[in-house]
Amino acid sequence: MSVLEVSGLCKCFEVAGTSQSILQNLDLRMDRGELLMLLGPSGSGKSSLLNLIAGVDKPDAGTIRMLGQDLTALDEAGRTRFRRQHIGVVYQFFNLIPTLTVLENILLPLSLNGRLDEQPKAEAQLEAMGLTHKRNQFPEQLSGGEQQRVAICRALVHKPALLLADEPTGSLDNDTADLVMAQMLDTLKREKMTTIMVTHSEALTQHADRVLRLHRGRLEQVS
Amino acid sequence: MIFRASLRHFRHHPWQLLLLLLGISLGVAVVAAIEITTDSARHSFREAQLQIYGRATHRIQAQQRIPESLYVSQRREQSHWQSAPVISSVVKTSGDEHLLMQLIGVDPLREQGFRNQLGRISGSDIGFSDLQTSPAVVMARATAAEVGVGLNEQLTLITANGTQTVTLVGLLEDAGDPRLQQLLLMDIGQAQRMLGMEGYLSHIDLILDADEVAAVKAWLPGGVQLEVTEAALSERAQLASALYFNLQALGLLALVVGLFLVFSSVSFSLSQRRPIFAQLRTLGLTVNELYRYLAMELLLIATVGTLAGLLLGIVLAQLLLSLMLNTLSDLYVTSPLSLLLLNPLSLGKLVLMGIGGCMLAAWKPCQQLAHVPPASLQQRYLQEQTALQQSRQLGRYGVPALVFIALVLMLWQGSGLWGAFAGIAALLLAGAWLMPAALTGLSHLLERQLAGTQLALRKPVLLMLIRDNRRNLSRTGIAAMALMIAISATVGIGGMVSSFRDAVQLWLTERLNADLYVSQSRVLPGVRKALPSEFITDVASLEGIEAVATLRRVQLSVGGRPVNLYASELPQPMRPAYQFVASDRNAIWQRLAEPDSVLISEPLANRMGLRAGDQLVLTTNAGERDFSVVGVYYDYGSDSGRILMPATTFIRHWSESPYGLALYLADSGRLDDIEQAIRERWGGALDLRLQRSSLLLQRSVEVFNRTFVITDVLRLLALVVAFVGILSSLLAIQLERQEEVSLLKAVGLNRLELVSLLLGQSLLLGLGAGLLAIPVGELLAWGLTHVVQLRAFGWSIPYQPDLANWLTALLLSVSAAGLASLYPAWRFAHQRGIRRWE
Repeated sequence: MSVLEVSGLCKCFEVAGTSQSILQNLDLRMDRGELLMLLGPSGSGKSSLLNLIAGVDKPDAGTIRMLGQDLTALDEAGRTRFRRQHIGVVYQFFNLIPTLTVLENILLPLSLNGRLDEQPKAEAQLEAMGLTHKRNQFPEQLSGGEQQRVAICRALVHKPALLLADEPTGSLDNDTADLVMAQMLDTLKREKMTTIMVTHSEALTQHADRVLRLHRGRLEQVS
Repeated sequence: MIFRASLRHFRHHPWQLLLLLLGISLGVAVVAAIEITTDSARHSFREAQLQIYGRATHRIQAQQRIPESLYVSQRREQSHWQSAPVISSVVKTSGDEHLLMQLIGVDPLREQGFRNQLGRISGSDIGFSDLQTSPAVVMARATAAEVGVGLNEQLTLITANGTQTVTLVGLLEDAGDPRLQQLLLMDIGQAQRMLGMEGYLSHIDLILDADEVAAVKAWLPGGVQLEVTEAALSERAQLASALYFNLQALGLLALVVGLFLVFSSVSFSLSQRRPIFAQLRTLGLTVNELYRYLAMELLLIATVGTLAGLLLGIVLAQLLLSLMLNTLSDLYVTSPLSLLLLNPLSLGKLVLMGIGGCMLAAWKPCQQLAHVPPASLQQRYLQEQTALQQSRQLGRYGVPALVFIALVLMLWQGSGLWGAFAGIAALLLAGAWLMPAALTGLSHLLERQLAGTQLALRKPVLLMLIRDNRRNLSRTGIAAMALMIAISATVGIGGMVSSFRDAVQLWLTERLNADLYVSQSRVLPGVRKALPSEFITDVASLEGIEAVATLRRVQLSVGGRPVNLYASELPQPMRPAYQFVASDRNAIWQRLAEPDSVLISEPLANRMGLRAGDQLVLTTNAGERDFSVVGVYYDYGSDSGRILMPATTFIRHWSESPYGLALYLADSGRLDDIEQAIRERWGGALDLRLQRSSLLLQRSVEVFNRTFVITDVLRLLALVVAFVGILSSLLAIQLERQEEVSLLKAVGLNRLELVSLLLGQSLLLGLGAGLLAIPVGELLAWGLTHVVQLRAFGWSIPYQPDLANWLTALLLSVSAAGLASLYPAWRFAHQRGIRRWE
């Protein structure tokens, strides 16, 4: 069963007074539990695509259906509600809210969704990542690797239907990146999480179910 | 290159530059407006007096008027003294709109060297004969047009001697100069006849050198004095000292708030460009080169902001001057002239002050920026740590030091009025320095209450906004300080005004304790007509009157300032009207019955350093005499002071007849009957004014409240300056948190939650500032009532903290912060998408 169906997606941006097409008639379909890795040079439109799928921006044309819901038909408030319930996000850096502790950061999606009764799950995830002893610390007191692991916990705690990860280990040193990525992939497999992961690392693609490259506004199969 | 980079930064963030300029402009505008207003009012007072005194250095005067024979003797015996006789009186034009004018009667032959108005007359060929043959006057062309009288036409004047008709025979070419527009010139002989002052003069003007002064004093008979006109000028100017004092204090406040705002705006503007400066420093820009650039940029911005502020200040000064004129019209017989004085020297001083103040306020942020190692220039976290450390250091060392300085200055009498002001400024600064620590404390306290609770888990935005106050201290700290100062000024000045109002109201209620006050209607302000003795006897004999007190008054000069001496029989019912500073009431009243005993008001006692048992020298009709001070009473009627003595003592030394009666009724319910009886018996013969104390009290309170309108306007302006500070800081935070907004949106926070985050942070800041402003404001009120008022006016005010005032302060603080956050919060919530993905 497909989790995500994108069809005929178009997006243009105004650059120096002229309209530039970033995405042109883009189609994408993802099945539950699939790990999709997205490659492409800087400026190819990867971020724009994630932006549209997350519902923080609207396409010029085309539809994005997720769990049967047409995101393009929703207003801003509707898209926000949908995002907080069904999508998880991990960025390259600046992932955590600096004024919330580790545990509070992880509990945030549960709190926003009114599911605080699932707090034990958050604690379990924290334990799985080996961060229980850091639960009351603030992000600034964590190392980069620890911050990314907390961000992964938070992105997954409410069991979203789709995880969007934008170079989640891109800002870490190689050893830490490998460690964090291993933990992340392990969790994704265990949770059967549908994931779109943007990466520049060809080596990582071996873990993907499917690898696509964004080229001239369209997706091309890599392997 | 640096300039270009900065210019582009401002082009991308124009509101930053705009708010920086607005901050400087508003601060300068308020200070400039106050400076220009007070300058103009002082100048107008002086100029108005110069129209009367001319170039005279001294004048011979008496309590009331001086005999003309004195002038004749002087001319005959001491003709080498340059002198001119003068009649001076306030008159009113008749018609629908009465215009108050200063009439001066001069001797045209003796005027040369004294006043120059005669040289400005035009409109017809006027000879001395024109002025002398019939009651003829000369007035300003603009005034003649306003009154609607032409040359050689008749004009009706209401004088102390009744209604008189005069002919306009000449016009003063005023060329729009308002200083001449309240002036009426007349021949001295005509003026004497018209005012019923034949054989008398108001004063004799003299131009004396230092050697002649002693000779004149020696030559003068008893009952007349030689006064220095400079003293008279400053004495006149001092009439409005309370108002000037208020304005100066508020000017100081606006300056402090303005400087905080500049500091905040500059700090933020620099911190925004930290990455640019960091790269430049990494590329090899030296500290000195960076300093030079920053100084140049700041000088440019400060100059533009100051000039804009000056223009705004001039507009504001027009408004303040008209408010001031209203107040002065309420308080004094004649108001000063509405001449807005734009003195180049004063304007230059304001420009220097604006630019200098900006440079001074910006020095610290520039220094911090220039001396931080390039590698750490980009670290936002480090900035916050530094801000936190600084706030701790200020709280630990700076605040106690400032409080100590403030206490020394305020408790040590020798520091004078400006010492008291400096003490208050130190107190405000101490409060401001405590602000970041107070915000941190409040944030910790709320967090402790919330953390771990279900509420915090359900509403994580609550915890976030509480902690944000600590995290953004380097941005919000200064704005919170400015708000706290503005609010504490509201509490402090509000507390002082309300305590003052309560004290005055109580004082008036006690003082106006008679049932009815009777006097003759005044045709002119300041002119009191004597009551006939048969009228007094008749009223005293009316059935139902328990006691009658006659009221007499004479103006004396004590310690170089005018002091009113009042006298009355002081019957038993009148005595509760006087509350004494110390000592036994009964003993004071007993001692007052002894010959040549007086009571003096608290301001006079403080000004002259007198206390019960001391001697006071007063000028009587027979020359100087010693009087015994037997008590000091509370009084808020005059900061120059007042003297009270029994009528029996007064009659022995002065000749003034009673101008009023205070009637005490056995049964207050018969007030209507008594009023009716007086009107029936004397209404035809005398133009009587019967005033009930309740009505007098109401009018006095109205005047009091109007006096403080200008204060309210300026307090509001200080609040506007603080408001701009918060707006600027919150916009800065909003800009800096774009990354965070992206994250929050991605996590799923909706717009309302995003708005709540910044709005809540701002409301908390307002709450913190409001809470700290209450104790700081109370200390300020204490300083103003117990120290400044006492040193400025000599009167003490019992201070009563007002809970309603506290609530207003909190509401004002939270509302100002909330309102200032609306636009930044809206922008915060409407930022486009997740920037990283854009």
